[in-house]
Amino acid sequence: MTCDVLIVGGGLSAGVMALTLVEKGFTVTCLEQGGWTDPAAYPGGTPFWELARRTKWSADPNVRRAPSDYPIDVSESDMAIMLYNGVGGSSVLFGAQWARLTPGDFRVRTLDGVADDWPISWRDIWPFYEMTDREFGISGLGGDPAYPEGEDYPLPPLPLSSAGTRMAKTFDELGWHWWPGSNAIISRNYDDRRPCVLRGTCQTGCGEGAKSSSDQTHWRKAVAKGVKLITGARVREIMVSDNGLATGAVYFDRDGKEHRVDASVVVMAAGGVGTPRILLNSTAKGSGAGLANSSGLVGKRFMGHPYVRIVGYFAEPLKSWHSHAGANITSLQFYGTDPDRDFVRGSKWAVVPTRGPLDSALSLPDDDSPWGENLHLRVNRELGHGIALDILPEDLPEEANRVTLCDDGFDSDGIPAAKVSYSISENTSRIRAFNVARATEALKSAGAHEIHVSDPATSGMVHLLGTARMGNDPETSVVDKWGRTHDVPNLFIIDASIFVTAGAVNPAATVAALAKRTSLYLAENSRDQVTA
Amino acid sequence: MTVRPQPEELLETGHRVTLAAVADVLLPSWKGLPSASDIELSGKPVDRVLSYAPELAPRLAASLSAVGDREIPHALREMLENDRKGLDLLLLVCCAAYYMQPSVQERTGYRGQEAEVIDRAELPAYLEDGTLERTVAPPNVAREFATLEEAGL
Ligand SMILES: Cc1cc2nc3c(=O)[nH]c(=O)nc-3n(C[C@H](O)[C@H](O)[C@H](O)COP(=O)(O)OP(=O)(O)OC[C@H]3O[C@@H](n4cnc5c(N)ncnc54)[C@H](O)[C@@H]3O)c2cc1C
Ligand code: SF4
Repeated sequence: MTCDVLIVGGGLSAGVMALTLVEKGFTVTCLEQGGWTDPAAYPGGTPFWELARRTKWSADPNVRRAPSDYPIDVSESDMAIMLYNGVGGSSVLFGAQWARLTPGDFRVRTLDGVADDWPISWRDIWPFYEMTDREFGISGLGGDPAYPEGEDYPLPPLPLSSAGTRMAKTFDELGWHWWPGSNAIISRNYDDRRPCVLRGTCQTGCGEGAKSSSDQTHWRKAVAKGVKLITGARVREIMVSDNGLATGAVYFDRDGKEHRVDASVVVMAAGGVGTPRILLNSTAKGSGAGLANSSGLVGKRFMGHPYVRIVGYFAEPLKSWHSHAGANITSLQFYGTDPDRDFVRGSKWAVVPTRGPLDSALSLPDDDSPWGENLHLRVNRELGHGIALDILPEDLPEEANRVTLCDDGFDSDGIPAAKVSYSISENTSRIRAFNVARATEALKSAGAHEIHVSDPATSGMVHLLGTARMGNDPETSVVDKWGRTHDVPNLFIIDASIFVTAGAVNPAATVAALAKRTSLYLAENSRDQVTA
Repeated sequence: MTVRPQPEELLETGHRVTLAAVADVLLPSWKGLPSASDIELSGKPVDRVLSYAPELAPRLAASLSAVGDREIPHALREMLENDRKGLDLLLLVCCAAYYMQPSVQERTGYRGQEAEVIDRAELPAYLEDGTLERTVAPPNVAREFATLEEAGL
């Protein structure tokens, strides 16, 4: 089988590219190891939801263990790794918070003397944020003073929950920045989809189709327009010709049978763990260390936003499990670097819903018997009485934090498993500590009588970034500013691997915008594109 | 046709007896909430959990074997120290079964995640009461932006 463009992975970034290129007349094939997920299968509207989140609908592939999942060795990671393998990728389970990087995020080296600058500025990406906001149907309110002026969102913001309203009032009283959340959840009918019904189960898939996961927003259309999406196709390696050009990929179907697809251009979109895994498992002539890896940086500089959830408990009932699971309101008050603090960079805060009784019942501290009257007391105190703030600290890129191939673990097709080695750095720990202190103040001034802070050991990282960074210099980066690998001129990367720095916002909006930018670049420059 | 596993296939009788005793220690009656045995948790409620997540059954059986016929609070405390995963599994299965029961939901007020139609007509209060108008650019973001603008970056 041959095609113009072969996309490896069928997630969020891949959907944006597949639809864009097929509309421009290219023949596009995509290999996705998972399948379509039937929205009727999502557990949100069933009594099993809380159990489902901890079993077959867990975001942790090591817990979920679906046939489409590959094992991830996290024995040397401070936190677990969360992702989804199927059409739509992790957007199937994402919380749908849709936030842009700030202008300063593209220039961290210039501003703070640490990490690196991106090879693009905020001005290069802004038009693509606006394009993909329309494609995904973002609900939000324009005019946030944290950002440069631009187009308004296509849909009005989602309603605030009681928790969002209370924290907006508190931030207002404290004189802190806040803004209604922008989310990839439709608040009105849009693009043949019906609006959100605020069930709050977004992170186990949206049965209503209101959440803008890319299976809904892009893949259905892309396939209808002629993209050949091969599901159950697990890619083992990228093939390379003797003259160093990518020629296609080798994959296994669900029966373990090996196939190959030839292509003029190959695009990696397997995510921040999946892409380095495949590249490290591929070889170019004369290179023993994986494909597109002359810099030695494939898999390195992994950043994960090791978030903290801090929950304040209030005497009065707030029914705080009830709201969409995106950002109700956000605050960038402590975003970016304050020269007077003992750390660089900062964090984003979002008010999110709390969960049902199982969450409280299963999170009792060890020091007392976590059962019997203690358990009832805890659930009684917490259920519906909490306000949760998710704090995303900016992780700086460090080479020791990395994705490698596992020596002794394999997936069901015999491909080496991924291994993530990750430690929360000193700088990130300081950001976390500072922000937990500020969030405690805010929650207390809102009236909370008790505060709980999540433990990294029981949390997971959902933002998998930086493992094939973008840059101008082939010695210190994997792809150029268009996502083209420096080493292989017809091999591109468009997923979250290419982030230079992580910022402190959820990455999906930026992943989508960068994928759109590369797609249009490819389309406009196809005549000059070198092919195998 | 899906064939439902029989109760005995999900959990053998001996383990069920241990589970009933364990569940009553984990979830005694409290301020109007039923105890595990009041709702016969080790019967249909636990079958419901194991039918939904059959992969939990072998681990549950292992945890119950570890409890054996020891005094339950003592066995649980030992698990708390030496086998947290085993204890967590007991808690997960029992609490999932418990909080899904209608009589328990009646008391807690949590009936699962409920849907609500968004009221399109309602104008957000923050647009009317001036709160949003007062919000200003976050200080570090604004400073960084100004620095970059000045440098033409
Ligand atoms: C629980 C959860 C909550 C999140 N919440 C948010 C949020 O609120 N806001 C936000 O901005 N971001 C959020 N994210 C992150 C966001 O979903 C990701 O950043 C985004 O989906 C990344 O897009 P991607 O294209 O890089 O990878 P993905 O969307 O993950 O797609 C990668 C695809 O590649 C496939 N693949 C991998 N390896 C192979 C192989 N060998 N062969 C074939 N196919 C392969 C996978 O199956 C997958 O479908 C969340 C993620 C999770 C897991
Ligand atoms: S809250 Fe809205 S977006 Fe989330 S699952 Fe429910 S309907 Fe879907």
